[in-house]
Amino acid sequence: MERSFETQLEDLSTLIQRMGGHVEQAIGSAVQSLVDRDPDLARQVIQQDRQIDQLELDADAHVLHVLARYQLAARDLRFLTTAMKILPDLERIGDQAVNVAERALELLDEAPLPLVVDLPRSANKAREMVRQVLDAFVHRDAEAARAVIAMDDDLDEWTRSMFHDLLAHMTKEPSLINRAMRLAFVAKYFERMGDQATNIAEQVVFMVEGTVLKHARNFEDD
Amino acid sequence: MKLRHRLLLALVGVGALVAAIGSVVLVSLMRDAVETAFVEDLRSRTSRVVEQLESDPPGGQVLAERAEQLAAALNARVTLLDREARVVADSQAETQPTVPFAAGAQPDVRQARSRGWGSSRGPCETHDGPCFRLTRRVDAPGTIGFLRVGVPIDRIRALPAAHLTEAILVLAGTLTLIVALSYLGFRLLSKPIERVTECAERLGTGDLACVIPHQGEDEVARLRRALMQVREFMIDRIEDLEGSRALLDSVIASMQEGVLVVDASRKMRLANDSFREIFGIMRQAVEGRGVTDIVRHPDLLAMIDEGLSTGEARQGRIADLAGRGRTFEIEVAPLAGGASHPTDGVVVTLFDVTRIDRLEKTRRDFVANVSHELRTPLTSVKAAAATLLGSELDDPVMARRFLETINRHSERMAELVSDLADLSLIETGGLKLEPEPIDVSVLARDAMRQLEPRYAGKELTTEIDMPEPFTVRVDRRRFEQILVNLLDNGMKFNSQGGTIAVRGRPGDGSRGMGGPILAVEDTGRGIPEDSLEKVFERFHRVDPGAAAERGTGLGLSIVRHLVHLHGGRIRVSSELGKGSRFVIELPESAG
Repeated sequence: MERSFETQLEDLSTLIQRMGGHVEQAIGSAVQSLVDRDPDLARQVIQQDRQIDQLELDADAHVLHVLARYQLAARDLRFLTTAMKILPDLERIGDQAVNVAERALELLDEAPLPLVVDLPRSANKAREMVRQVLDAFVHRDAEAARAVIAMDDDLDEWTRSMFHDLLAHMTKEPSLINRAMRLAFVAKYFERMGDQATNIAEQVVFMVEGTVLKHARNFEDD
Repeated sequence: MKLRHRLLLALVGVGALVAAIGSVVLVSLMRDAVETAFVEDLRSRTSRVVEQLESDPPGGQVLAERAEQLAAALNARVTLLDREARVVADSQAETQPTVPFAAGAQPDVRQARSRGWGSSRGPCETHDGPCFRLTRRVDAPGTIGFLRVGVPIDRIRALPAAHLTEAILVLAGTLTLIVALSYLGFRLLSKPIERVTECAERLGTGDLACVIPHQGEDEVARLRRALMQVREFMIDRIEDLEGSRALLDSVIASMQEGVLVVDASRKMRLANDSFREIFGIMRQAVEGRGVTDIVRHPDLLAMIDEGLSTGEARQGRIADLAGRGRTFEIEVAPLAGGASHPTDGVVVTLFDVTRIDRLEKTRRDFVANVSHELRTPLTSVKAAAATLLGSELDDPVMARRFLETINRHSERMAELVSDLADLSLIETGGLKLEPEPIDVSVLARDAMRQLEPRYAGKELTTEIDMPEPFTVRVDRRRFEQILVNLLDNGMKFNSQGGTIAVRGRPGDGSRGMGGPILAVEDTGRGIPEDSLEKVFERFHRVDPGAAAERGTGLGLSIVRHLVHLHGGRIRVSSELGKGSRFVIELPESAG
């Protein structure tokens, strides 16, 4: 009754897509819980990270099963090893969403900040990157992966500008520091998500073309 | 093998048989004819010879010579018999017979004796095979009584080679002609059958283009006609089906709801235009792809999973489904089978309830807000009244203070209720304006004065920048309301030590709507670009997480309605962190 090899690969793709869906939802809910000051939503994000972790384990096990069971052609071998490499990155993005939710909960204890910092914009960008990079992986599309890498520039810039604004406010109004710092962390978390998505994108490019983009941008180890 | 080739083969077979039998018979007949001719000829020549003999009867030894002569003349074996039918000379004998052979018993001799001539067939003495004997009575004096002539039958019946060859050739030629003509005939017959067959085969593969014109009335014509009828039938049915299909397709395509069909193996089968619009996949092919390729939201996937495994319908509402903030009512219904069999798939229907959702949220917020806005002053009023009733009624100073509190809060509540009533009046179209020439500079000053105490703590700089007087044709009360609301807003969101300004320009026909223009500017925190249009919505709050704002969120909505009632329009521009500017443009008639 074992499913054919083709179907096994499809199953793996589906698992990864589902995991991506959970991560996207986590990002969206986390930022919403922050903006709406919704503790229940924040807690839900933290809770549901377990599902993301479970999906990572399932996908990992699936990959090992296929590797052990079949004699693989080079192309399929690369697909599977790349899957193994991107799963932890994806899971970490989920963890960043949990971090955002935790900061949201902390901020609820204090008065709302009279600041407008466009965190939803960063959150949506991160979500888009997650979605597109997984599409690129499943469809083995190096060009799409490269497009995701390019999207990271926007995210980095927005984060920089938000830091700048928050810093300015903190300097003018020291009583805001506590809360503003937390928002700064949140901005950073979204930037980290972008970085992790970029890592995944680099893996995809390598899988398809054999071009190594890893570590090419900077020397900082992730 | 083709029909006509089979017929040809049969014909050739039959032909060969006929040829074989025919040639045997023919040859036999020819031999008969030859024999008859020969016999006739022999008879007449024999008759002449006998006449000669009768006129010149030979005698003695000359007989043998005579026999040889006669044999040479007749080209046959000649035997001379005496009157007793005893052989007296034989052209073929080596020596003349010494013992006379009596041939009297031979049938031909007996016939000759009685009738004058006779013939018989019998074995040859000197030959293998039968011989033909012709005997004539010789009626003349002398020894010879009979002349007997004998020829081997096979010599009589021999056919000259030329004739035989000719005969065979004619036969062969005739048969070949028959076969050839017949083949042509078969072809003529099988051609139409072939056409019909070809057409039928094409119809079988779905190619409905084949048409054969009507011809004749035989079985093939009937077959042809029947085939054409089948084709007509098929075309009609297909047209009907395509028509129904097109109807269904256009219905599904035009539906506002997004429709997606997912089969039992979680592959997508159909997605209508609305669905594609929701998920931003306008041009992509969808058929056969896994559903997780497009749909990633865990809740929706869970609904689909459940629908596929239980075969029961599921409903739900999911917010922010496709990453663009829209909320949907979702129904997942099984395609076939029902609860007891495994399902063939599910139909997912998505209905956009974002507006409804937002309206519901707005209403909830509004009710919460109004109750909050009312509760606060009411609490103070109640507390003050309770205290007064309790003890402070006796102390006039304290009593006055508490009554002032009650008054102040009642004012506030009255304002709120008044706002609500205004909005309701405006929205139901019950508000009537009474425009008259009003000096707006005075109105502006009054409004500033009214609001300054409320925002004294902010230490704002006020500015009124317009001609004095600035006469505009408006409804006094309502225009004051506009200014007060805008100024209140501008001051509420202003930064510490900022500026609030009212500017006015008379209309000169070139700007805005041609009439007077007024602007209220502040140096507040500003409005984000994507909220600029929304600020005029009822109960809209720019920063819902920010410090609880005083007011109901109705002010700007009322302002816009009132401006529209005056025939004008209002715009807002803003820069985050710098400030905002509200501009009212009035029509020429107000100038």
